[in-house]
Amino acid sequence: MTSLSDRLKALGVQLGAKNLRLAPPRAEYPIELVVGGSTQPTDFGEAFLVERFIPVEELHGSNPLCFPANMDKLAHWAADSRVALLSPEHFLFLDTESTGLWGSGTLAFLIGLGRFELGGFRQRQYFLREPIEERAMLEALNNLVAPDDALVTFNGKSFDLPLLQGRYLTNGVMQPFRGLSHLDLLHLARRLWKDLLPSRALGNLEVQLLGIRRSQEDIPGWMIPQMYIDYLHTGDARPLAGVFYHNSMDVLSMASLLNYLAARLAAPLEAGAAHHSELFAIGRLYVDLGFAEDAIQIFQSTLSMDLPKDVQYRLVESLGLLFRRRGDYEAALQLWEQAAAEGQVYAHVEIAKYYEHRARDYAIALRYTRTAIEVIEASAIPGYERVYWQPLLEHRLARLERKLAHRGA
Amino acid sequence: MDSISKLLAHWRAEPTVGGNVAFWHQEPARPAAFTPLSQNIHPGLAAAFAKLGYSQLYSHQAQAWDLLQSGLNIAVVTGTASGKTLCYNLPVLDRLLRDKQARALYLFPTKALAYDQRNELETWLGAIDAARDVPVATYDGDTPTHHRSHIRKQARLLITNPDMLHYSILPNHTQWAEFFGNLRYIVIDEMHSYRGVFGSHVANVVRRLSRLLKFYGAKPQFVMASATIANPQELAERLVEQPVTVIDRDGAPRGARHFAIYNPPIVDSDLGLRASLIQESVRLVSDLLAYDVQTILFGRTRRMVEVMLKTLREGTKDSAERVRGYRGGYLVSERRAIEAGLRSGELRAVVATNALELGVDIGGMGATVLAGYPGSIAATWQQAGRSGRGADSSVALFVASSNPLDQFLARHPDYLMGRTPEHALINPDNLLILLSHLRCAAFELPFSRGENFGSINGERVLEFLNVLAESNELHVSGDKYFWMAEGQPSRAVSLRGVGSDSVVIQAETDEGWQLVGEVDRFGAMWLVHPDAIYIHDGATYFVEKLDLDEHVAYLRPIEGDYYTVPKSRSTVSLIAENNNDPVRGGTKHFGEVNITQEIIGYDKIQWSGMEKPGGGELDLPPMELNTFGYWLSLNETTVDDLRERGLWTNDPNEYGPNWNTIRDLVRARDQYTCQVCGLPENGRPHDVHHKIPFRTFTSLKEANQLDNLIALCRNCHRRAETIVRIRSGLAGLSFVLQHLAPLYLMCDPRDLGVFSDPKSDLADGAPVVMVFDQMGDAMGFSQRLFEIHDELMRSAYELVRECGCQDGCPSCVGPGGEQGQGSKRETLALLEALIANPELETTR
Repeated sequence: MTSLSDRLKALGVQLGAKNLRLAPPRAEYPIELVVGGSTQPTDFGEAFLVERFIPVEELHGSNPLCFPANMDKLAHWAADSRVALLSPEHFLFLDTESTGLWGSGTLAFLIGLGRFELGGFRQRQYFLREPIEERAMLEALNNLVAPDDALVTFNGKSFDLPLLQGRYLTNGVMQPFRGLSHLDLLHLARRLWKDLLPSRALGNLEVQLLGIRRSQEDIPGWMIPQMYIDYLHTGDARPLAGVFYHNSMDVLSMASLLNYLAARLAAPLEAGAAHHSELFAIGRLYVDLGFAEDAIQIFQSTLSMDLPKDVQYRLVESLGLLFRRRGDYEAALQLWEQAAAEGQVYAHVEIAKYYEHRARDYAIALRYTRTAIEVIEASAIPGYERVYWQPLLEHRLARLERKLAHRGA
Repeated sequence: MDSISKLLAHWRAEPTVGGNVAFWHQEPARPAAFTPLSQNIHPGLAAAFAKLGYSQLYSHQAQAWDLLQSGLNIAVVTGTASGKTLCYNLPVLDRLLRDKQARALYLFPTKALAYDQRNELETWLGAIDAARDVPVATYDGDTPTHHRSHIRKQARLLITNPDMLHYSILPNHTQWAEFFGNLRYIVIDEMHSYRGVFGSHVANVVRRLSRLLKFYGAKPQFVMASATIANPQELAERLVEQPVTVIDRDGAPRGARHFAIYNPPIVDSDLGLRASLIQESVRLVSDLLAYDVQTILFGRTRRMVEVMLKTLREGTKDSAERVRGYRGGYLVSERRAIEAGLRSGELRAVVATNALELGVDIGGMGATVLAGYPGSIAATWQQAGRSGRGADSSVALFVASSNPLDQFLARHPDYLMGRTPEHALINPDNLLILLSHLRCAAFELPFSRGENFGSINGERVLEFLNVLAESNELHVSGDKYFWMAEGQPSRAVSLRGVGSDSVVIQAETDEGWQLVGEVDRFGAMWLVHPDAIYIHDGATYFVEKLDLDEHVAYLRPIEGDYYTVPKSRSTVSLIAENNNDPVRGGTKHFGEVNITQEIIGYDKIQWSGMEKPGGGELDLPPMELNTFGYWLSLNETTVDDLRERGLWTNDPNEYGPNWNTIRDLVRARDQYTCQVCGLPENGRPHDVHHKIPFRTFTSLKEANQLDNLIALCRNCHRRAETIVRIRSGLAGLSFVLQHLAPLYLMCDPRDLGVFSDPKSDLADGAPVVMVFDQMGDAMGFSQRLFEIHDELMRSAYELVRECGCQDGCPSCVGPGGEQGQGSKRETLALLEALIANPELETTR
């Protein structure tokens, strides 16, 4: 009787990964000899852990690792008041390395954690020496997460958390994350630097904002799954040193980034030479969070910078809107007049609205409406804008003419 | 008397119709069997039941309700339009309304069918007050990504297809944990479509699903619904690997049903030529239209559908609104409009391919006309089953073509009536299919040592796991096997074999370029090759250009007097022979082969059916299939022996030394004009045809008597040859293997290809019969046939010997032409030479 393997081969089955170099031979080299570490007993076996303490005076990049002085704005952004009240040691920084990008068979083989402590920052890295240790690792993590902790991640809402929750589910262990506060810094980074930075990847933020340089040891993220798979097949843990380094840097940079972001949000104008695009983004975030006065301040000082025309227009428009909301029509009109003179259709409309509904001077309102129509007919504004404004203006024009005629009669 | 009965009476009396009816069967009307709605049903659902105009259930629906309440799995196999959907919708909705946590999963083989059922469900939900508690969602490839997470959380009734389950849902099951943990019903509709390789894949997807459900602690009931097949219970139980109770007593009312076989009259008694299948079918449909009977006319090919549509419209007023075509290649929106037109009754006739056969909701028709045998008994009854609307009478007509199979059925209607429909076969344990799904399952949840996979026991599973671990796809850790290779195993497994990219068909009209349709690459070469006439919904277009790189065919409308028929050439060549072994009578082989089909040119055919000069050659890339084949080559002794006994009919005809002279003589006598259609020669000499086949003569002189010879154009010659076709033993053997092999492999006949060649390059010019895997990638079928060669030949021998027919029928070696010969004797003699000791075996 031929073996199953031979029968499958006779059928032309491709076994193993495609285009694969020959399977590397086993060359046992345990992880303990590579990264040190120790085992931690749990009810479900041993979990393997690498621990490190970074004293407060040690620099990460160009700054020391420290917890933000002011978390108020971040708490508002996260719409979670707990964030402002928790003490630093309740913030748990988390980043995972996995065997793939998605799917319920993807394992989190390395979970990097960090927490501020008295005098420094404590890092823990849980690692699966073998997949079978997963349950113990999850159990150890469970013991580490308190119900009043807050998570800090970078893209954790879409990646790390669902991945870990899936692992807890698959292992039949209760997950510790339910109901925790969660700050996903990627979302805020996107919001602030979408126009400023070509990439909001953590690695790029390190270089552009945090003054961090990674060493040669670092492994690009896309290579990591295969390195772990190779480790399991060969038993050689040596190449994984770079993966531990990568994960450790990710966690530390998150802590730096949190501090940086909190500082930017707390006092955006203090830092000095901030970029107008970042300031504008923070101003708009303030508006959304309900800090109109702070936003006005930011917009006003941004306006005093040397700005490209289109940025200036958008700023003026936002600022005018804030004045109007505050009921400060004098200040608003001043901005709108200036914008109208530069051919901004919306400004004409705002002025017309003001004179129609507030000042009830229909003649002036009519005049601004007419010039607006002239602007959209004459100037080279984009077609979709013309399509948007035309009916609104025609409508307003007709109404104003009716009102004037009525008043005249 | 209703209009159908009037027309039938008229037809019976009319010699040009009644005289050609070879068979007429009437099934009397059957009253409905009603059962009151269960008292235990949710009051909201009972109210909706009344609101939608129902008062009672048909007995099979009530039976489904009862069996499901008692916790059993069921398969409902009742007629078309018998209300199968209610058999599952009622209990499922009831459960979802009662139990706020409960979930249900509906699987349909295609998106279109899912769409139909979604509409049906919406009708019910619209009538239920608490419907908001039962969010229904469709989850398929078209579902936008940003809706998906919402659906995962909210949906309580999920409609999807097996492919989506395989690619997306199972590999991400942790995101569906809530759904799986509360799953109470799994509905598998159109179960009959899960056969062959596709069905074997789906059975493994169900194994994976069941494995995860066990993990989440759910044990839902299965509800299946199917068109008529011979083995519903077997298929259902193989698919879900649980006991299933079949419900097949149909309680829906049925009007009287007529089934008739119409054989077009002989128009040339000398040659035995019959009137055109197309013309006759269209004539019958015109009668039906005149009596205002809603009709579907089924054609076998897309081209035939368009030709019949055009012909039918020419004789019908307001034809564009009342008569439509329906086939693959029509746009989805167009198809939906046609289905709606059929339901509302606005459309009176549709000419369709079997695209309309499967499940699509169009209501019942007054009549169906089958222009030619659809190829299987199941398909015949599915198409015929489209007629029949509640208690009204209906008729299904099968119009026979001159093809030997059709003519056999016209002569032996009992064959069609008495036979059970085909078996739907699957083999979920096929090594390769099983291996693929074990990979997927290992990704979804690591395997524990000793764990079963469906009905595959732990020991056997372990063998597979060890093979995968050896090749570093799995990693053994503790007592578990983890998927440990980069990438998603399900991404590498297609449930339906190789996909093919589509070609967009565009026509330049007064309003610019318009999208006319879409066909797959293979179909494009047949239908829209350069210079082809493409017919869409009766309108004709000329193909200017076929750009296969850009996937576009460029057309312009044309009013022509002809259409085109492509000519193809198939070749089979050897890539590598993996194994061979001498067997009695020859050698058996197994290896990798290349099957190439090329469109090499086209003929122009006038609408009247006459050939038109001016066809052309084409230079299109060949369509290639690299696959595995099993073949048998005959040795010289075997062939010589058969030849000596006069049982070898594969040698080419030798018409004699002065054949050229005789041929010219006949052409001159017949004034260089085709003696059937009257077409004069045009550059190409007409053929000269033996009225009584040459092979049947022993003397050259007798055969070549002038009064046995006639000049025919190529087209008419082809038709005349069909009628006097003589099968060879080799062709007979390949016919037997074609329907015997699937039984051994438990695959669908369409998963295999068969071919024979009396002088094959595969075996240095020896005669060869080959069976090959049709699915591109090796399924292991050929290897298996190679292994069981002796058994296969013995079964073939017994099958042919024991068949009660005279000289070949569709169940054994295939029928000969109407005036030709089957090959029972030749095939039997050949098989005797191939099996060890036939005489000894007969006593077994």
